[in-house]
Amino acid sequence: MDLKDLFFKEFKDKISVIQKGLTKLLEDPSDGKAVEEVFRAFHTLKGSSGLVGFNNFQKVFHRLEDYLRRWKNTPADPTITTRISEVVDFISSKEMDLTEEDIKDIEDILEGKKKVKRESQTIKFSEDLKSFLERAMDNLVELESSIISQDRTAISSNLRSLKKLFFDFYEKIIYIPIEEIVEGFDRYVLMDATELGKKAKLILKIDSQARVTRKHAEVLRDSLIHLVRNAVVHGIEHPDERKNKGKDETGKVIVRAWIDSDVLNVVVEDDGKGIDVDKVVEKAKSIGMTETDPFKVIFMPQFSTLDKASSKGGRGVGLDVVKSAIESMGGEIEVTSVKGKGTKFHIKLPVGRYLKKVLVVRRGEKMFGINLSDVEEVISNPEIFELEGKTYVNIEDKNYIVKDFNTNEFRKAIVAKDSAVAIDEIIGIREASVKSSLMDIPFIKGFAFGLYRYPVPIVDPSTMPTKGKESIKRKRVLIVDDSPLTRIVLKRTVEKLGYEAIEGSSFEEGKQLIEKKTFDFALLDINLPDGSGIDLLKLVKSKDRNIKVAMITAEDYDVYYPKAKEYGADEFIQKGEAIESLIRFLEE
Amino acid sequence: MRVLICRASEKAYVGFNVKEVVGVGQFEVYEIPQKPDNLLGAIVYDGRIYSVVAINELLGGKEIKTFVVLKNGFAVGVYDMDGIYKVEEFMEVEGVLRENFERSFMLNGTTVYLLEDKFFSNLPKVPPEIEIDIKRHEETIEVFQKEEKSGVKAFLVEVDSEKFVLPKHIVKEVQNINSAGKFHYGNIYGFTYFEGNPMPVVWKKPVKNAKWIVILEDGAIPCTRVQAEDVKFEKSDEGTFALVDGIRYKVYNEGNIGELLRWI
Repeated sequence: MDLKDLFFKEFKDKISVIQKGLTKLLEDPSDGKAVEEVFRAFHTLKGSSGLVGFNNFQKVFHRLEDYLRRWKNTPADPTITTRISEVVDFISSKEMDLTEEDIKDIEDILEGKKKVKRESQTIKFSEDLKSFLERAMDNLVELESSIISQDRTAISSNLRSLKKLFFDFYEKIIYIPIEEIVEGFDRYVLMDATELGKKAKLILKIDSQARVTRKHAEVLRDSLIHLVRNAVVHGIEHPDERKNKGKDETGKVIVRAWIDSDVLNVVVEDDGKGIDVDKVVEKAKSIGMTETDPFKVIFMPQFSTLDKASSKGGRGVGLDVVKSAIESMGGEIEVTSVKGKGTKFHIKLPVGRYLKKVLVVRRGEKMFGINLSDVEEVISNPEIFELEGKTYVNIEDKNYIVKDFNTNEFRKAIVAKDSAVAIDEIIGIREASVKSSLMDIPFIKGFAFGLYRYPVPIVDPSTMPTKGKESIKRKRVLIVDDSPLTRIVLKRTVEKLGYEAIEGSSFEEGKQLIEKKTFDFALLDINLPDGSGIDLLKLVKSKDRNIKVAMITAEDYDVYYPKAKEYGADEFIQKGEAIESLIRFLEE
Repeated sequence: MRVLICRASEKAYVGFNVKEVVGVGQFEVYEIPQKPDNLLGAIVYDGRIYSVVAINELLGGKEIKTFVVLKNGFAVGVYDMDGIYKVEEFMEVEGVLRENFERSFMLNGTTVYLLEDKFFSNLPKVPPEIEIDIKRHEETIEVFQKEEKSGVKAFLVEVDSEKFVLPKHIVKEVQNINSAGKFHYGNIYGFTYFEGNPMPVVWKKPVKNAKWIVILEDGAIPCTRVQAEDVKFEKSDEGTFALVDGIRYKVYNEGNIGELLRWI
């Protein structure tokens, strides 16, 4: 390691000390100990940078050291503390001496003419790769020597160590703890609050198991920074206002994170003024939005509650970006708010695990798995009863709806996700590599690899078929029509009859649904914007002749009926008579 | 606490804290040199050696069918698994069994003894460096052999009564039907691996005497017969055909399984 490498190693350590000290100073500007810590760190860095010939770094540290020297006798100025903190953010990613342009930028930041964009701060991979490689190489050398000496015990032991080493390292590469993601958030809250003349503090309640995949870490961090800053800027009231409302002068922004099954939950909430839903609705109407649910409106791109432009944007500005970012990771975000009490954003993100414990079971000829973390209990000979066409089991005075792949009797029930999954036998509990399913099978959420010669499907009890008479008659109906109103009417009718309705609004959507799913009935419009319903009819019938198809159209009966009949349509319903004929068609 | 309850014998039940369970299943028990009396042998699970103990003698005999593998390095032989139950209240064990068990609970009128540290405290463990002779009992399955005909261009496949030809370029692999696990749902009859990914085995109806599965681009089909052939293709207005031993068969040219089901 040369001198410059050593400097940057020290630089990183000291930057961390400085950031922590500045955070303390924002909380208490008279904290003499914090002033001393930060001063010493700048002073050390000034000397080190001179030593390695980084003269511009030296100048900047000298300048910053001066500020701290002044605060040894007087309380720190929060505005300057914030600006110094921004300078520290600015220089923390540098890997060479500062340029003249950097010096000018730093001057501008210190004079309040320029701000540092903090959202794009990179999550750095902290694992010591070098140490891992050294250990792996040692293991390989030992393995090689045990193979040469044909020492089977040593071979086996070395292979196990190597496997463990790789597994641990794999986990470190893939995941990052949420505790690391939220590092520095306390400073952002204090800096934003100081700048706006507010008082706020961040409270972190992060479960140590809460983690996110490294590839999602940066997007999640940016989203959380946005929500946390939004809470300070738009949620937390000024101290006087809070006092008048009987609240503590210092507002709270709470970030909580935990893992529930395979879902990472992150909540960002504040005890501020809450979202003014009336204002949101009014504003939405004024800009011509049709959505009236204020908690949906605020996530829409065109929405902002601020009447005048602000450098930090309105409560709605950017929330669409946060929502898209969360959804792009397969997650979801919800907001709840009570006027005068505060606002809560709840993010749910699926997180995988390399090895999962899987309960492997058998039902009839089907062997499948359920994540053991989803399983509450597995009950033998449960009390079974029927209610309104559905089958339930009663376990300790609680009724669970039965999910089943078969129709015959069952001996055991797995209680998972508020359902009871019918099974015949438990095959085992195994640790397996589980990968998500890309297939269009609603209840298969993934596959367990490496347990048997074939992949074992992992089912999601919440989307499994329901057992009971009702489930037997619950058939699936495809509706393809470009008119939303027609689709709604058809869907309601179909669902009232107890069937499942799946909609498509164009030829292309209809075609894809026919390819991917199975249906018992199809209700097809003839004139679609991008094709003919008659062609969809051909596709349906070529896939399965037993699917009953009704052509539903406002077109002339005499013109289209013969053609539809020729390709196998079972019914031809004109839109004016749709409902009665439709009921007759589906029931008969 | 979630407790895995297993039957040790006809009437005797034992429980394990689910958190302490690494796996449950059937494993080969290996002989170990100078085996202590109270160990049955060793099993290998996920590359690690576990000492096998039985609880039959304590609680009445019944044969061992499955093993509960625990974090503490032991695998306990039991008859079968009864279920997983949430248990909140335990009783202190009294009498002779107190030597091995501290806690028990009642389930449907039967006492279930919890296997905890006390049970394992006096048991010897197999040293991790012990050499055991691991035999692989991999079930052999017949592998599809391409007939050594010069210039194999296609596969003549038979699915129940349907016979058609698949050009070589759309057939990714031919596997034995035993490579697939059974899981019937809609048109899917099971899943197999192809290049490390799950692949559905798909057909319009159950194929009773399927022997092979032919892997296409996005799915596999169960076949009663598959034959590698050197064929002559003929194109006509009605589509492509192949001549095999003088008989004309339809040729399916796409790799997509959905298209194939529609085409048939």
